[in-house]
Amino acid sequence: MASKSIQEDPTGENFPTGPAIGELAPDFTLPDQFGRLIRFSATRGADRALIIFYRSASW
Amino acid sequence: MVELQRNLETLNRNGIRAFAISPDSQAVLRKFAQKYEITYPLLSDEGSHVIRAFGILNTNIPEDHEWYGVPYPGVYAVGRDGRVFDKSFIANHRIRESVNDLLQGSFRVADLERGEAQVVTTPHLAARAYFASPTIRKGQLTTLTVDISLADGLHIYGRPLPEGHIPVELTLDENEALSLSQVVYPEPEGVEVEALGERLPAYTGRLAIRAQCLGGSRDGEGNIQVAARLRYQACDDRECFLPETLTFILPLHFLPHDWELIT
Repeated sequence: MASKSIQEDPTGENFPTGPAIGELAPDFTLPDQFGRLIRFSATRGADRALIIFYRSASW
Repeated sequence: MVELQRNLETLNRNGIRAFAISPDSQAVLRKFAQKYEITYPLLSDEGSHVIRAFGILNTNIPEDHEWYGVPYPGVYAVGRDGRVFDKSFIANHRIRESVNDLLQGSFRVADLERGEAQVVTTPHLAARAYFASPTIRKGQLTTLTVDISLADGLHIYGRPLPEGHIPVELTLDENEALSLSQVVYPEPEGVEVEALGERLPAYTGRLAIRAQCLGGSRDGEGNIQVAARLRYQACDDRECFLPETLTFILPLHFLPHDWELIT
């Protein structure tokens, strides 16, 4: 796992990887597949979280 | 995403909440969730506001392209205090970390569904080998772990080593299902070798060797067996025994090609 905010890919290009280790994850409120509005910070304090960013569920 | 669903109970049991974010519409996510029975939140970030807030919008894609708005794919592990404590971004979009590796590596989850372990015992040591996950697919990373417990008074060698000595080495037989991309040996201690009058890097007691493996280009789904080999030479403070090569035959289930469903 990387601990840097910028990672170098094998082609030598850098790309951003967002908040660094130790930084706060930005809060968000988004609708899910059931139409429920989910607020990330609502779980803070109780659970740890796994946030996955992916490109698309359709391709 | 499907693999994560399969591990959802483990996540719940360990107090980990999963959120998956993409710029897909709710309609696309609803369809996808129905098809694969995904119950954890698949969040719709249409307009990519959250992706931008995280600073991971893929700006190599032109604004007029239909893919504009997608993030650099990656994963954050966030603590109860809301702070990122680990993250994983891999430049090559065709390579993904397995869910098991993430949960084991970042969250230190112990009660995971693992690959079947094989134990080999010799007069010098007991070694236990297993894959982090019972499944693998093309482009997916998984970890092969070998836990070694040495008999009292014996050591095996690490690196760097002068010629004539054999360091412990983990290899995989060539196969179409997966290949070894990196083997991580723990830091060896120095052991005094009386006959040589020098200190050599070596291991005593317990150690774990971890190998990162990448799912290969096998066609289609099926059960496979992968042969892993551990070579070592055990010595005590007076003499060395003949070098040994142990073989572990480990079962894996190869899953079909499925890029976007991996994490």
